[in-house]
Amino acid sequence: MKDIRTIAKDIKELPPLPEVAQKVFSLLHDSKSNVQDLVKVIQLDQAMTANILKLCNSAYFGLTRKISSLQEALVLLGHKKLHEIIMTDNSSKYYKKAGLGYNLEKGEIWKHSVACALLSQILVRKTGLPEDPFLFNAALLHDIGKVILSTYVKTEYDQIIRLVKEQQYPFLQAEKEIIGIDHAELGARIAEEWNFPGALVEAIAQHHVPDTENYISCIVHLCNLMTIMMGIGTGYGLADYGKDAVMKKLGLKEKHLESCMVELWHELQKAEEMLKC
Amino acid sequence: MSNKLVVGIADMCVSKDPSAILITYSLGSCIGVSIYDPVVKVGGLLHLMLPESKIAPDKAEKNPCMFADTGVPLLFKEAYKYGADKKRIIIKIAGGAQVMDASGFFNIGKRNYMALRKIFWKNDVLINKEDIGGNVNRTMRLEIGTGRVCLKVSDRGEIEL
Repeated sequence: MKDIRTIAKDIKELPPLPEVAQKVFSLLHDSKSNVQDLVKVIQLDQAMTANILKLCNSAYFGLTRKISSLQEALVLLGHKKLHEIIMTDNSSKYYKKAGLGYNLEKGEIWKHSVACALLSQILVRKTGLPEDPFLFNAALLHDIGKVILSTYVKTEYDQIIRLVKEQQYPFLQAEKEIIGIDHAELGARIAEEWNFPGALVEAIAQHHVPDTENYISCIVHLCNLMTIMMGIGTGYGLADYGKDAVMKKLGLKEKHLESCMVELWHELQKAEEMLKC
Repeated sequence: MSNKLVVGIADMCVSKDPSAILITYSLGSCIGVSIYDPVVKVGGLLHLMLPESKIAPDKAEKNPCMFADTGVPLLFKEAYKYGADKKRIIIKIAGGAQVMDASGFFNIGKRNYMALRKIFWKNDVLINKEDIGGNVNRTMRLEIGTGRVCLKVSDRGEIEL
């Protein structure tokens, strides 16, 4: 078992989430805060502005004319979409490093995360479930713990896989047993370190074992499973339990999952720029 | 030199180029269907995602490869164009995995498999080889020159089907 203190040190050494992402969270929290403040912060960073505009102009959003300023983006896409784009742009750098330990190609965890975030919005839209301002971010960042744990999982990989293969452990439990902490718990600690809102910390912590009373955890749990079943960032992800109680609580049937998977496939065809970012 | 052709999710490829290797990655609950006529050396690989197109008929029209009931007929039709004969076709399938306790809601892998069996049974053809289920992920490869089908399974490494 690893010394948890070493891993805790890794959390401290992770570059902090940029100020602009923090700003997005405070905006989501407080409807009175001004979206123009956010635009001002972004504008100070030319590279970020350029990247965000590139995403806004990508095929995914299907705008009929090219936009050249954040103000235009705000008008044409609305602040919800702009928040999502900002968070996507700011999260990608963390995920880029992760993967190897989880038997995934470089970039697969990022693809899985974007797919989950898109799927969270599809699920809510297609089934009439309530929207939640933190849902997109929770789905996007649910695997953030893998960024740090990947290195440790890689070293202990054979032992973890032995538990999965020979003793039918779910991957998460094997991770915890061998390393002393699993990626969900570690992700929640990172989220705390970054001062994420409590709802987001909980959703990251619970994405494999959701409390049915926590709506965001339930949705993220389903989105994670669906993308894994579709083969997006699968690795050993099928060594996990799907929670029937979540489906019952949300009043969902198999056909809902299937039609959302169809929609996700179509959206991913247009999301190339996001997956590259 | 081999010519590697990647088949994506909800995608298919048919070829008679003897140097072609058709490959599809990361089959979770999806199923890879490989067909091969050893006489004319024509083969095809389909990566289907869901059992029945009735869930989204408009989307099935845009991309029939997504579903078992629309993808399989298309795969066979394409192979016939290259001279394949139904009586000689060898069918091998892999995938259809699921999470550990997929009793009800999450058993898409199993339903994909049941849908395939039904289609083949109705059309009077047999599945020659299969590697289905479990909670593993698979990569599937068909060599057009030889008809060999190989799998890379997350808990067993590389095997020939």
